[in-house]
Amino acid sequence: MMTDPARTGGQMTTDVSWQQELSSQQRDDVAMFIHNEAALLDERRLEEWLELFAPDGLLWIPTRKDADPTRHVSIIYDDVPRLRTRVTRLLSGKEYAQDPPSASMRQVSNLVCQLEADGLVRADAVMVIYETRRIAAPLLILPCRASYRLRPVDPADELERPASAASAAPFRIVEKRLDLLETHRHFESLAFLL
Amino acid sequence: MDAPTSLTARHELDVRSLVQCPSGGGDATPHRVHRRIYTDPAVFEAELERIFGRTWVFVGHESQVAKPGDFHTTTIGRQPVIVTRTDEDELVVLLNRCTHRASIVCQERSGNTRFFRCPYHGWSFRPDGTLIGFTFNDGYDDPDMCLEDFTLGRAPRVESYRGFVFASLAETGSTLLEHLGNAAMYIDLFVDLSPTGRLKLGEPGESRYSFAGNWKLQSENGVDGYHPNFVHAAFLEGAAPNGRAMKMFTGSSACEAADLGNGHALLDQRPVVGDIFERHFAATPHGRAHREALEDRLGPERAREVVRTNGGQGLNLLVFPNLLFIQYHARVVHPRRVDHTDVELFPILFDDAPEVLNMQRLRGHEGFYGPAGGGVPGDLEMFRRVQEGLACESMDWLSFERGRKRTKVGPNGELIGQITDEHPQRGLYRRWLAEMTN
Repeated sequence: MMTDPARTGGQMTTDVSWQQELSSQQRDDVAMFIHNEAALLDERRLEEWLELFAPDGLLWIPTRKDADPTRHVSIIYDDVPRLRTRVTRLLSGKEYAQDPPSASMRQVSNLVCQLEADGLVRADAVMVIYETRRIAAPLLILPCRASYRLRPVDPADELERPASAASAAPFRIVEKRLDLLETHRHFESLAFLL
Repeated sequence: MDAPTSLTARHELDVRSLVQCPSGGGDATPHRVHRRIYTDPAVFEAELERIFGRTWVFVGHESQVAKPGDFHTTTIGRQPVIVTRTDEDELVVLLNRCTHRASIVCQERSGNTRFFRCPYHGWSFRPDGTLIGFTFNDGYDDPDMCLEDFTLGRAPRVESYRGFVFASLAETGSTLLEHLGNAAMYIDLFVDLSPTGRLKLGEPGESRYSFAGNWKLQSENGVDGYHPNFVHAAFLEGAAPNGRAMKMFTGSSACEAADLGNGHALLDQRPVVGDIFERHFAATPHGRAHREALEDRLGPERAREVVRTNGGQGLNLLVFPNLLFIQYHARVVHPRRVDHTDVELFPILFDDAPEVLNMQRLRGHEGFYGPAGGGVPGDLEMFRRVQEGLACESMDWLSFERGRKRTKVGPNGELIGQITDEHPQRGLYRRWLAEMTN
């Protein structure tokens, strides 16, 4: 798993652990959750995707590995209300940067999971996002490290929720962080990126 | 037969053929420009030589090079430079090119160092650019060769205004203050908003993006009040209830656009947002503390003006040719090729200010700016579509004629129109033409 950069002098390092803290079933659940999340994004089912977030959820795409959001600018630092506004804009039909919308594929691998002290599941994966929008433009390949903090859903809390793909999900996203491999690069529009 | 025209004169004639100016004016102010100014590599090369090679170009902020040995790298036009603070506490702008065999001597974005060591043959230079010594110096036995001949190149002129550092690659020319002219008082409004009077750039990092289009598309667009209700409709509809944000940019808005002279330009949104900002400052404890700090430092009258402007929330400022102050950031437009541009947005934070104020600025910035913000991708889409449309070689001219007949002259000679008017772009191209034919 990735350690808190504050504890490692600003360097993201991987704690190599040979202990499995989650059962095979739990790890399968995490993998399935991330694969489904990727599919909802790739299919542009953004309203369903939003439902995967906990009310206190966060999407964070920093501009550096040792980022501190109180001091450093991010590419995206959206709480759920802001994510909702973003999704409304992207789906409004008036966002020219997504007219036509991007086609994308998210490929997820190298998944490592761990239980955190607060009962959240920490999941780290390598994600490669392939994006294309226009015939003339080359395929954008966006490798990143995806780090999730997931809150297991208590089935008793979910009875009031409307039935949807997300309502049956075993987790809610408390934090999703994408660390782009090419933090130094001048990208063209990343309007599709979530 | 006439004597043969010199190369320069022929080129001058060529540049003049790339604009149309209304007849009878004093200074030539283009209201139409030819497609080739965005597509012709020869025009681009001339811009690098005559504009970026001569005028004052923003290279960084003093907070990025606060201590001796601090450095920050950037480019002037295409040329890599290092902004450094010398051991004598002087700001210098070095050409990032070894005087031996041309390797860059610094590849870091920023840092602190006692010397820049060229990796190729080990030549090392002090932060003021002087060469410390030849490596294996017994090979340099020619008495005519001395270390002083190999000092790193320097921008001949470096000046700061309110902490913003500019360099000129020309030995002579107007002072920075003369160049800034009417733009200076608006830079003051950005700086004075800091509760401590000090700003911090660099440490927050930067938002970066690029586009497959000419650099002037971004300079034009940063002070274009005509496009938001079209390009940013989805964002503005979500930003405020009842379409309030969109009212700023209608044809009947009380907001203004101005040609400030010297190529600088302004979008002034204060007529609509001034009251809103006063209410925002009054609504929270940290807002009230901020205003009190401003009143202590600036007096109540100036503090009110600064609050009603709220930095770049109330103004968009273009400083010719490639610097914009917008909302919470300073934006630098880097021409790379005639049809490729890199842009860097440096969030401007308040030095030594409460964290909550800087957090608000960062989150506010991210909401609209940067490659995944609510606004920038729409602009990038337009730049790309314009550059694609410019491939229509059968149609030559682009029009910047909006509001020509409804110009007010301001107290400092500004030419002021309604916010959707194209005074800013006409002003930009007046200076462009003057530099390109100079």
